[in-house]
Amino acid sequence: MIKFSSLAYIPLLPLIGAFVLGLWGKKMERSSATIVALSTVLGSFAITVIATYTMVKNNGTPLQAVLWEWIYVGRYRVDLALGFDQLTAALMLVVTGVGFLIHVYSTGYMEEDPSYWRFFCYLNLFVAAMSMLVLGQSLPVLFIGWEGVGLASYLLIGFWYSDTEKADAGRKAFITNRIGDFGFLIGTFIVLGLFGTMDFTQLRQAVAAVGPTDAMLTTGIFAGFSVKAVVTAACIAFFIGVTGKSAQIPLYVWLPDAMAGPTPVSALIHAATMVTAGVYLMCRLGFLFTIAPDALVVVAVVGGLTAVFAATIGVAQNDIKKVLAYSTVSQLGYMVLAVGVGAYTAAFFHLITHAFFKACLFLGSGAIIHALHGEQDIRRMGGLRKHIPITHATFLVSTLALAGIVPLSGFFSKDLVLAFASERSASLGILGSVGAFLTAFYMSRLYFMTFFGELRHPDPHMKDHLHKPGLSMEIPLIILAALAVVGGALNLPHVFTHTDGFLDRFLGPVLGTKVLSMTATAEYFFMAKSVGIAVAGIVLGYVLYGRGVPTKAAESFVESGPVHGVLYNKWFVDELYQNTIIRFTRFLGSLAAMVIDPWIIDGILVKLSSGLVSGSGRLLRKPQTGNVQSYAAVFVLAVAIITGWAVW
Amino acid sequence: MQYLNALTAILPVVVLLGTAVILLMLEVFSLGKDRIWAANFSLVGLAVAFYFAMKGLGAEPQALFAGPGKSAPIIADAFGNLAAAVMLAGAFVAVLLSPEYIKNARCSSGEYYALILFSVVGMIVMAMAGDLITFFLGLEVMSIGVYVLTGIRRNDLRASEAALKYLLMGAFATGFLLMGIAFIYGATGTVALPELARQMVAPVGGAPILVTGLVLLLVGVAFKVAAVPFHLWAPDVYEGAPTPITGFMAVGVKAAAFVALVRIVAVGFANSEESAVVIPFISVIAYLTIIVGNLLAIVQRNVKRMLAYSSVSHAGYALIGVVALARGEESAGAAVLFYLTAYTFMTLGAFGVLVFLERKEGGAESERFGAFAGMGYRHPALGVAMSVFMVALAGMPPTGGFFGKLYIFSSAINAGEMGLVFAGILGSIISVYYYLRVIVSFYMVDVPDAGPLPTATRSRHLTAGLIIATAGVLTLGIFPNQWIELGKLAFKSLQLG
Repeated sequence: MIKFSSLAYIPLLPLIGAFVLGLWGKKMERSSATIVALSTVLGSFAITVIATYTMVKNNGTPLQAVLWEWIYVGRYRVDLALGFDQLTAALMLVVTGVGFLIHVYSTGYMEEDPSYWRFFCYLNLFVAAMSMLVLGQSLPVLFIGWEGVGLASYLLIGFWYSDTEKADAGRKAFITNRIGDFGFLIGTFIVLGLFGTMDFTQLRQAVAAVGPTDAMLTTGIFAGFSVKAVVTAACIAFFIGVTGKSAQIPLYVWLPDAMAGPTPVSALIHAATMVTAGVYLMCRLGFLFTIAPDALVVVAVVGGLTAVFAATIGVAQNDIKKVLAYSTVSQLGYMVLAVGVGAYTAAFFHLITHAFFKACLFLGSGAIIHALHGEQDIRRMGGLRKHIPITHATFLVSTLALAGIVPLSGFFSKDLVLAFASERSASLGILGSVGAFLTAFYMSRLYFMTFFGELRHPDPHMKDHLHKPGLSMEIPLIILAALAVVGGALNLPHVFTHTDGFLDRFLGPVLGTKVLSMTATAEYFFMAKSVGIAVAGIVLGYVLYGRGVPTKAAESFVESGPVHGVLYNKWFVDELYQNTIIRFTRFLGSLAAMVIDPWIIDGILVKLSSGLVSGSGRLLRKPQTGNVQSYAAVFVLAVAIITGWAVW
Repeated sequence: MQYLNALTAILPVVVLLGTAVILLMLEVFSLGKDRIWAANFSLVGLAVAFYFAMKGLGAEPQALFAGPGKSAPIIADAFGNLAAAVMLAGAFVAVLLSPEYIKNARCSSGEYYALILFSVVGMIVMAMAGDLITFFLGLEVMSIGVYVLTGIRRNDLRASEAALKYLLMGAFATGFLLMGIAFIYGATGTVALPELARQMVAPVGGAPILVTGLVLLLVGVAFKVAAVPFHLWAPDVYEGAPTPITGFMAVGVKAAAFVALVRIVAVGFANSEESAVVIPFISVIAYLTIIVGNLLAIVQRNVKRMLAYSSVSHAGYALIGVVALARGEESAGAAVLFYLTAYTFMTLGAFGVLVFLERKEGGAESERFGAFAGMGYRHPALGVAMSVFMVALAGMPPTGGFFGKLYIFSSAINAGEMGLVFAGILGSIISVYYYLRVIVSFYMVDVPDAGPLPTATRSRHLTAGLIIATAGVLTLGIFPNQWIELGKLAFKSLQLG
């Protein structure tokens, strides 16, 4: 560990930005608010780069900064410590780098919003919290960030809070995440109870020292269970937290609704960074998941199912952001699947490439929505490639990357995930391939309906007063699209270069290395299969939607009919939750309101106890007569009793 | 020459005496009716004395004024100096609160500030007393000053009644105290604390006499700190005395008595069987004080009386620390010191707010909860300050009141006194009710009618006093470590001496 106290400034700078904007933003000039918001994030990015450089120069020795001693209770010690290793570096570069680009984009996108300052205050707050999450050296510090990003996400989803639907979406996100957070806390407590520490470095050492994991524990609160069983329980609990934050089955329901927030938010928080926090957490705790293979099976299955399930819903959505949202859920499923088969680096690789192309797609969709004065329904779009060419080009590149067309970044990362998955089990591989096909299909549907054919907007003059995106919006799009193209170079396959990929080597010290066991021929064949599936999806999309409007076949199979009904209504999952869990909770609530609160709390606890207390107070007042003689009498009586009692 | 050297070791006392005497002489020239100059002059004296007390923290413990072959009556050590610093700070704030009150109550008289200074001298002597007679002398010096101060509004019936009650009851209790000292002397043949400790180790003849003596001594102290059942005088006296003096009494007298008690227990009666006999007795008093003090505070309608009972209950919490100390738990000494410091600031602060809100003609009426309705909006800064003091008295973070209770309770847990801790926590919970009630009436009660506002001109002195009190409460709550460490060091000096 090398001391590197500047780490503190990575979260601190944006936090100061949020503070300044929150207190004085309303009175500030727009330009000065912009300067505050952008400079703080750029500063964080610069420090991240310097920290990465310092770490690499020192042969990858992690950096550390202890801000202060935080919780010292009994034998448990938690410092407010920040750490910086390869995993942190990789994600921090994405968070602050992509974060900065999205800040730049937002200056154009939010130009006309009256609450410009408030938006950047929240956005800065988010970057601060996310940095805290990634830099946290122990579970509680990570949890500060975990909750902080949840708060920022809530504030930004409900940014236009005067619209009840949007405010409700914010609350849905927050409450759903609370359920996950509960799992996170349980996991933390189990880990603390078993290993007596919550610090990642110490935990890693403790896990390494465990020995045979099947042995029964004889002491401590988990006596009678094997280490493996307890760790499995902890990992499942953490995974519940992950399903909340990273939108997996069954807690994914908040993410599509979260699209109610401004589009840059969807790009930054709900695609590129925050939602990947769960994947980051599992990578960070990889050493723990590794000794709990049963938990990994659960993780892999849930991830694979989510990837397919969300993709099916994406096929039938008409809101451009909803399609991208379900796509995000599905892609997060791939990352989780990768973790589940033990391929942490592959998961992280996909996390990074996904951050590039999905941020680009969201920002592109923002540019489209911006151009059409707030229109989000793809049925009212079309023909836009002529009007906003740069947006079109970047969108096309990112779509191909997401679909997994060689040699774009998405191809390499997704192929790696699929390869590991099918090595682990054939059925996981099939799940992944089905998901990949659906992805290519819904993305080409989205692409053709948006950019091809003629503009179908009900306002016939829309074509003449389109809101063309400015430079501040186009430059981030171009940079992100470029990254989406070359991102694959981060981890080229072994068969191409005959050496380990860059990420494999870089993240190896933290995540361990896992290599494909298939032969080179098999690997080439596998790649060809992946590309084939993607092309098949795109071709199907072109056949059905190539002219910008659904063909008759598409109209009857995808755009209407029973299958459409089920998919369009998202498999009725929201309704299911509404009628089971939410209704039951409401029942408990009304029970508390009508029986427990008035009778037990107000009646027994409040009225009875206050009656007792004030009654005895009144009784005790009796000797307080104001008469000195009686005071003296009490005095003497008391002395007599006490002396008598003490002596005999 | 030897005595002159000794005087330099107790410079705080010398400075205070000098200031007080000069004040009395200057009074002859009757310089101005409101006597602001006298307040300022006392403040300077107190500040200088405070400086010397803090400086004395680092000095080696010194036994002073010992006759040949005799034990020393005064012991100037870090403990005594730290305690003196707390009392001096308390007196400083009390003096700051006074000009405003004197102006409103029209009770300006020449002796007022000099009497405060003389009382503080008595308190410091108590804190540094090396034997029981010196302790008694200090106690009386302190008490006489406070008796007079209580009745300084001679034309006010409530004040006169309070002064007379206090004097009568005080004389009564002093009788018990002296009798206790006499019994102890009879049993052991000495009143010097270190000598007592040595006598106690050997089997003492006539143990019942010693136990009786100890009990009577403790009764005398219990009276001064207003512990139940020797508290009956307190509400009447606190209510009748001038408000700044009530604050001064509540913190200064209590602190002096507790500090002296800590010294007596830690030096004189540590680890002896006879003193173990009286531990249950202190425990019972502590239980009673916490429970009765809190229960009675709840039913009060007059805020000043409520604060009087609250000060009774706080004596109970401090007594928990004394019990732990008597059980041999050393951390309790520093805990009691910390508690008294926090208590000094929060109580004086609360009385300071009262000084501001009391109306000239209103009398007892202006001290009722109802009279404070809406004050938080009329005087925002005052409202915040009062909220801080109430929250601190209730023992909530981030105030000194929280850490005071925390240290006391944790030392009691170490000493195995779970029952007392439980009672203390229960008492704290009850106390939240009446402390928050003040905040409620400040902010959440509708103003009945816009009646005449209390004097809006705030004296600078009062403002300064409130600022110091607020700062003290919050500083102790945010940086408790420095002060508790100082307390531990001071307590260590006690055991060396």
